[in-house]
Amino acid sequence: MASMADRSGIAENIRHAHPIVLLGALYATFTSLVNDPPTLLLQLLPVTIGIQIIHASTCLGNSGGSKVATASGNKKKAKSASKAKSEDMGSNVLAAFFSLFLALLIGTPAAFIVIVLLGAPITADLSHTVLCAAHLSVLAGLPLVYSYYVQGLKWRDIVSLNLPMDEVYGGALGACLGAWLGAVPIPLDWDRDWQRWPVTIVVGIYAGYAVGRLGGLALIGKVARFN
Amino acid sequence: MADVDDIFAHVPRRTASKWSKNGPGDLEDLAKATAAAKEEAEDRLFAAQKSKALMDQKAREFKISHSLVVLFFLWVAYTQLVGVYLFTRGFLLTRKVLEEKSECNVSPLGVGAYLGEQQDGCWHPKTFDKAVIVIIDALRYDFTVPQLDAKGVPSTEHYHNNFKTAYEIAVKNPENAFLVPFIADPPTTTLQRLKGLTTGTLPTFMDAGSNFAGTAIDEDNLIDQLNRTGKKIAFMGDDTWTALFPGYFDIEHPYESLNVWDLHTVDEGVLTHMFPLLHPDNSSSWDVMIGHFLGVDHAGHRYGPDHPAMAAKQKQMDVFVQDLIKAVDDNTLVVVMGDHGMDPKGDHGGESQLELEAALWMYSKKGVFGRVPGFEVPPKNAEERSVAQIDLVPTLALLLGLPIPYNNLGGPIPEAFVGPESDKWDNLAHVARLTSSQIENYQKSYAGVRDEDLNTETKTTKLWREAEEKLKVDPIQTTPDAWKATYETFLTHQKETLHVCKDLWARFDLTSMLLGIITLVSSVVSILIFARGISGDLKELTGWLAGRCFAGTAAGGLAGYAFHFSGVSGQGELKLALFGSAAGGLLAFFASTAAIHRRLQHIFPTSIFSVMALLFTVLQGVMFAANSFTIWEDRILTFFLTSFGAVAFCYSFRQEDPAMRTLGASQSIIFMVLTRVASFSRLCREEQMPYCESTYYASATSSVSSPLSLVLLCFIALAFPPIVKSYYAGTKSYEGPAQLYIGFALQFGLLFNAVYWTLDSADNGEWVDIPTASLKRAKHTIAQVVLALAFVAGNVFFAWAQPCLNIEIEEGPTATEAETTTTAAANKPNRSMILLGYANLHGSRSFLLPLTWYLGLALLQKPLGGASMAGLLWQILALLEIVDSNNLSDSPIGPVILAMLGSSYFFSTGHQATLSSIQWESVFIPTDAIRQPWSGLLFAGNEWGPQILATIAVPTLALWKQPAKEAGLMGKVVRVCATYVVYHATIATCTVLWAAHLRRHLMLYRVFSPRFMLGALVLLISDVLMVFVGVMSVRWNFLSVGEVFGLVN
Repeated sequence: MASMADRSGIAENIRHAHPIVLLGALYATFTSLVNDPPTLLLQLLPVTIGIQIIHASTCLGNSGGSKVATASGNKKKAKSASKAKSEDMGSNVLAAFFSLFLALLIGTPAAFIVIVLLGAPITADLSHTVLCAAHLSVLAGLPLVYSYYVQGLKWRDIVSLNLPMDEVYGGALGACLGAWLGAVPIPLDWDRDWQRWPVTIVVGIYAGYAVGRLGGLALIGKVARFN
Repeated sequence: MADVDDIFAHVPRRTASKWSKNGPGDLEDLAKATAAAKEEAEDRLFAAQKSKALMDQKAREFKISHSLVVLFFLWVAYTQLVGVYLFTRGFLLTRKVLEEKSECNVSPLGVGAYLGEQQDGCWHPKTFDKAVIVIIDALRYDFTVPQLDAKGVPSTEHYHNNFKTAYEIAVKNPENAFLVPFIADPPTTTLQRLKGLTTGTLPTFMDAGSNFAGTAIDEDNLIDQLNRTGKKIAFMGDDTWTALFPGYFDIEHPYESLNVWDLHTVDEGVLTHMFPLLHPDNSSSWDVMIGHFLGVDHAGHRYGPDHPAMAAKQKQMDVFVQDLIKAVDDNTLVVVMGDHGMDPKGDHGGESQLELEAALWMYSKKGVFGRVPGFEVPPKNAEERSVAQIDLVPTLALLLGLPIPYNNLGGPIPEAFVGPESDKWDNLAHVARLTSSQIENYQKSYAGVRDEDLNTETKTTKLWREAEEKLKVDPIQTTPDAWKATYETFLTHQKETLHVCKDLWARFDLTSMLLGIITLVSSVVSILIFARGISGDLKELTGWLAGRCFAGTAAGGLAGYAFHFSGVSGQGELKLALFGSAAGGLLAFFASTAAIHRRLQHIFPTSIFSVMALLFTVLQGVMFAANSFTIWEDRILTFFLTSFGAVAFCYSFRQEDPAMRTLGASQSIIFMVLTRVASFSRLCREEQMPYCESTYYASATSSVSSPLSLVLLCFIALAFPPIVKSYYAGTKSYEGPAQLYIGFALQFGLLFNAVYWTLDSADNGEWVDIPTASLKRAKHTIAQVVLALAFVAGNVFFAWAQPCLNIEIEEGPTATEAETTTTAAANKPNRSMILLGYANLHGSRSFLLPLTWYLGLALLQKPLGGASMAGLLWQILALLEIVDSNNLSDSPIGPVILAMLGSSYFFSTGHQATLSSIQWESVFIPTDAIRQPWSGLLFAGNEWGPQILATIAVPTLALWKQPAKEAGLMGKVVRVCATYVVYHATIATCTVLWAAHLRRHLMLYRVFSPRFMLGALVLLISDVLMVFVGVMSVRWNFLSVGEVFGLVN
């Protein structure tokens, strides 16, 4: 029992540290991001992926709280209770990599299309936009896929904002909303380097993700009303 | 019973008259027959007539309540018009026009100064007896000087290095000619420029719109002074001159100026009439000759500068200059100038550097011109050296021995007075002194008119006094340097005065602006409460509200008029009465809503869609406070619209019904993709450079459509009608009038449209060897046919059309149970009647109106714009389906998105909120002549086509696929229309607020002021259309449906 408590203690720490680490990584590399967005985005992507995989495999589904446990089904919960720690961890990491694969395979093209539809250039800065979409799908998509796999009905709820609010969902929505708001300063004629495409969007994604996690906790269980 | 008796009263009468026609027959028979007929009629007609009477009564009731709705929207339109008017009167600057004239025998230097006879020169000895003044419209300065690239190779652009003679002479014989950049004061429209070039004063913004109706100048000016000193003037060219100076010319040959398609008529006319007059035999018939060429300007408008036609025009002008200087004698001054420049696309009107930089070339055989030290050869560009256009006025006046016009603010051009050796600084100082003194005279009179304190010395007067004192201390200055210093003091005075005047005439009437703002803001609040803050059926309330608002308006108007006589306010009686009426109506509205407070509901958004509707409106309103956001409005609208599409896509997944889900999701995708595709069609404004690439025309320096857009237009003519049809086919509504509108009118109209623009391109590119005249005739005929089909036949037929319905009798044992089917008990049990199109009874018919308007509005756009408009119509259809499949017909998001679509496509049809992007030439699509009000309507159809189309489609938003007999449908339409007005009113009010707040901003005239004018005009247009077409079409629609199914209220 002690080890369980330890583990959930570690998971708890990771959960709290996670958004801070993400924002810290972005903050530390901000200057290079402004100077050369695609190169830095490409370099930052594995770091973000690593952080996300660690977070997902330790906090989500196992000890990330009841909200995740109910969402990801009893099977996992039962599994986590019965299996040994290392084996459990191993399967979690495997699941996290599988989630990464799906998120990149489906999430990145989808995010890319939406960003372009919203007005991103098509002929120029292609790598900027693709990498931006990849970051969005790793931040917002990976934890969702990890939590819900490919359950059709769940994903219908996710897309239609019909899922009761929790930390994972809040983070994902926050990242999307942050990306949207990140477009606001681009047209301003301040001639700052950080207005370069897609710096503000990426910052919006990361900040939105962190804020959205908190927002998800605050609004836990709530469902958005459309009309 | 009385009613029934009334109905029957005429039955026996008619029978009797029929019998009596047969002659005086058997009276008994007649009586019998009458009785039988009456009996039979009573039986048969009783039921029918009763139900008809009921229907008539219902129709009457409907018409009354509908008329009250129209009245209410009329009140809204009136109030907003008053608000815009009051603000505009205070905001758009006005200058007081002084009517004093300078007199030849009254020198501004006072008694004792030089005064010559008229033939020698009034205030100063004249240099020339005669002058030939030639204006080459839009002669930009870089057209006239050699343009070399970095390696020294001549530029290969079509608009460079063609007009060479002026430069060559100015370099070779400096004493005979000089060439300088000639800076216009914006707005750079020809009418405004001619005013500046003859009066020497500054234009104010108020005059900017009057290019289409030139009015006579009543200020003192050069032409008037020429007349008063008995000079004979010959004029040929642009007829704007004869509008400005009616009856001033002894010989005149005006030519129609606004048809920009015509490159040659005006120029040929000038050439034909000018050279015979230059012949020595005719020299006594004129003293000053004015010629105004338009070819270069029209080539710019029509093709853009980088086109062979431009090169040809410039070469023709070059040859003309060579011929002209051969033909003139020694005592004649030749002036060749542009009145403004042109932007990279060949248009003008704004205040970008390229539009302001014209060229001025003065030539004489006498050899009297000098140079300012350091500028021996013509400057490369205006940054090196330039003169203001108003400087021409004192220069010409003094060279020809005229008094300087009273209102002049320009100074003498030094090159013309400093002498061939560039050493006659005393002469220059004298003319500068004369000019400054006259400017001082004018300043005193102007201050007097404005009731200003005349005792305190202004900064400019001090400068002038100091210069005068310098002369008194040392009246006979000997050194040129001393004269030069004196000249420079006067020059400073002139510049300072100009600066002060510019500032003075940029003063606003803040009271009037404030009254306008109060009216507009209150109007937005009132219509917002009306649209979103009242629960239940709106229709029954509207009439009641309309009555009270009109009573309040009338009472307030009288009160405002009466208030004028109290003398408390300095505003005129018209303004006070107008403000009073608006305030009275608004107060009545608020008092009425207070009386029905039980029905008020809060207007704060509680759901994602209503938050979005509010957010999009408010964010757009707020962003007009920043010039960057205003400049990038087109991209921002795309961003918002796609965001709506994405959220609608997400929401569609909440629908339980898979068919609805698929419909909603697929239409949302179509909506997003079309938004983005349409955003590729654009015309960048100058401020968007270099982050923007124009696609609307063939290239950035062209006004011609690319052949690719023509191909697109042809493709749309074939592909678009089936797409529209598919939206009707879903509810089996492609019946009756829909077949006529889509299958016939839309199909053939679009084909004609494609043919028109193909002919136009053929004409422009000279693809075929057909005379221009017959091409033009063919084009005009086609355009007239399309416009008549769309706006005359389409509207008239819409008033009478049946609903899009059909009845199908199906034989068979089982009745079809389609969604769109109602089965009626027929005679035989196994026979069923299917009513096709019942599911979209109201929507399918009311959408026919935007459909037919689309046809006409698309023709008025350039090919790419016509294609864009198809995108708009398609997006409206997608929006209708999204709104219906997601049950959003009560949400404010529908009308807000529709309004944003209209605004977004404004940019996709090659427009911008700038003066230079106005496509004036669209007025000449169906005809060659300007004929009001038609030309104005054609212009509005081109400029605001997308917003007009969106407005026409508003009622359909509430009607699309709604149950045919739903109660309160009319109230829903009213709510949707009112919400749509709220959006435009908010946008317009925000642009007004920002323009007022930022009235001293550097970008006022480039960004904020044009956006305010756009916002205000779009608001007024949608208000008026809402009254006359949107709401009226609802009347026809309801009555037509009611005739078949009975009216529901």
